[in-house]
Amino acid sequence: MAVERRNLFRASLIIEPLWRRWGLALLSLAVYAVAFVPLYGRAGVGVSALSLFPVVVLGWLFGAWGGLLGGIFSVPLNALLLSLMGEPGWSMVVGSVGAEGSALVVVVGSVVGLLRDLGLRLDRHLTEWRRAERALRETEDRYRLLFEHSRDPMFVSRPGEGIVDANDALLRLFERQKTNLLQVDVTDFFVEAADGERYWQELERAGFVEDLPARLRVGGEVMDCLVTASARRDGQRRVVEYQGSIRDVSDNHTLHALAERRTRELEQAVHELEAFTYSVSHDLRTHLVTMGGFASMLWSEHREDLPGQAQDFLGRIVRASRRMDEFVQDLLQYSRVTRADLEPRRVELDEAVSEALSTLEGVVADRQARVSVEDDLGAVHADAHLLGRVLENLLSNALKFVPEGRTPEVAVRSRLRGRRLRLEVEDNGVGVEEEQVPRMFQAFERLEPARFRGTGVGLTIVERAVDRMDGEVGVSSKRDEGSTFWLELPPALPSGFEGQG
Amino acid sequence: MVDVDWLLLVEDDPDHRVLLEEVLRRHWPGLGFHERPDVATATRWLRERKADAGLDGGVLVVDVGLGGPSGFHLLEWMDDVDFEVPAVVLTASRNAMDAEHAFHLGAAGYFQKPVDFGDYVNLLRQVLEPEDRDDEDEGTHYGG
Repeated sequence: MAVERRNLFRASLIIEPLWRRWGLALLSLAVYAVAFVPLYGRAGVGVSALSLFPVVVLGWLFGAWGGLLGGIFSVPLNALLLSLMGEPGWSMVVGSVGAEGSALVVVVGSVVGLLRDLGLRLDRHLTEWRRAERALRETEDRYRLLFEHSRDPMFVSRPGEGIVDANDALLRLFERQKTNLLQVDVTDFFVEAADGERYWQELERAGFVEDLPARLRVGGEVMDCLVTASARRDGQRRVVEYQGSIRDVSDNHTLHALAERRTRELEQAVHELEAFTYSVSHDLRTHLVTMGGFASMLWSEHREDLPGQAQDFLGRIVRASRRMDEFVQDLLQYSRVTRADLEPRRVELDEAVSEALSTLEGVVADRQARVSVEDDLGAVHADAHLLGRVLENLLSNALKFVPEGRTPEVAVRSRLRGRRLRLEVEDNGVGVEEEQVPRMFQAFERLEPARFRGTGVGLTIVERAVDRMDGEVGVSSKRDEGSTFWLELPPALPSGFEGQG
Repeated sequence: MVDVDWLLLVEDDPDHRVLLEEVLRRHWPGLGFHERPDVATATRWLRERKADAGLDGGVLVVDVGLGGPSGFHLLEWMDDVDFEVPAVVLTASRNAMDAEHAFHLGAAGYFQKPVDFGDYVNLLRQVLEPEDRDDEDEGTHYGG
């Protein structure tokens, strides 16, 4: 609407393009020139009246300067036209037309031009004002929508007036009609008077409150909320309005409860899966005991009675059942490591390492391995059983993955690293390519199935166990040069603090 | 086998019963071998044995997972009625909690059933010839 009206105004009064203005100016001059002769004859010396026409047109087209210059130039122009008609031009203009008439023409031309300029300026102001108004309305719409559609309850209040605006979320929260909420003092929402006091004090002091925890009277009930508000001031720094929002944290509580329930369900599911793994492994082993037991009995007691090929077959069965047993035992160990109740306490690494090494005495002797253990490895806060399994696995790996013909050399050392105690087990084994490192800790990944026997569960047990003890495990490895496995655990509490961790 | 004259195996898996019997028959032929599949029949046998010939010179080998009451129930019962027969606990898959439970109930050993015949022989040697045992008893190591 506004746009159309403005165009109408401009189209009817203001001629914009320059060529059109010049065209109209020339046209009016031509009309004047053509009308001069007959009108001169009829109207006598009404030259100045006739001159008004093109001067008014010039003022209208070109503004104040156009009107002024047109008026001034009309004087010599009239003199010229009169002299062309055989009259004494100058003396006639000055004498009979009169200085007053010429001055009138100049004044009228200038006034018309001034009016035109004023109109143009007014039009420009109107346009700008409308544009500003439209922009304002757009931002107003935008923020109004933000306010109205926000899921966070929001309000605007004024000093002495109470709430002057509230969004839908707030109305929903308070279960009230907007009219019931207007004029209400924000202080009335607070259940504890102290909370309300703090709200105003903070607003007064800092100009804002952020996530002020407060219990609010909401609808018929009391809710735990976080209140955020800020003061808006005018040019004189006087508070004009307060704008605030309320977050209902009892909702967060339900979310929290939901998350907790889900976690419990997941834990339950994982627990059941672990129990399943355990009972499957257990039952597998029951039958394995029978198969392996009888096969190895045949092997050790009746081998000589069997033909050569049968002996070969039997040997395969016996070996397979041993491997199967290792595998099932590892699975059982894994599920035990996962399920065992932890009893973290001070564990001396010196003792733990030598205990783990004692279970590997056979391997060390077989391979004639050189194992060097640093003195004073320190003590960690860990579960002794779990740590034992971890060390056994790491040390047995270090001894196992060494190429035939190379003497295994294993070095165990420790150092403090930040707030953790880091234990390192270095070997001179086959190592792995760097890109294979992430696969090492995955269950059933066997990177060297052809060269070394294994179940692929050992490092998974290590990782799971260390993880359960809030530790970390990792490896740096170089192909054919060896690996260094490290594990980081919290150091033991100083003695005297036992049982308080 | 200096002290042990008889052995009662409480085991519900018939194959495992045969396996143990074979180990004993081959390596400890003079030993009296008795087997019962569950706690109820085992307690009955032990009562009768006590009444007949007494419980001296006996060893109990008890599986944990029996159909019905577990091997631990038998140990508890033994404790209740003051039957003093050394008992070792056998299980298909050892675990720390069971091991603790077993020793708490006065078991002389807690072993995982071996898959290898030779290991079975070694295990029974530990049970039947305790004076030959090392100070550090391999069999009581348990994973957990």
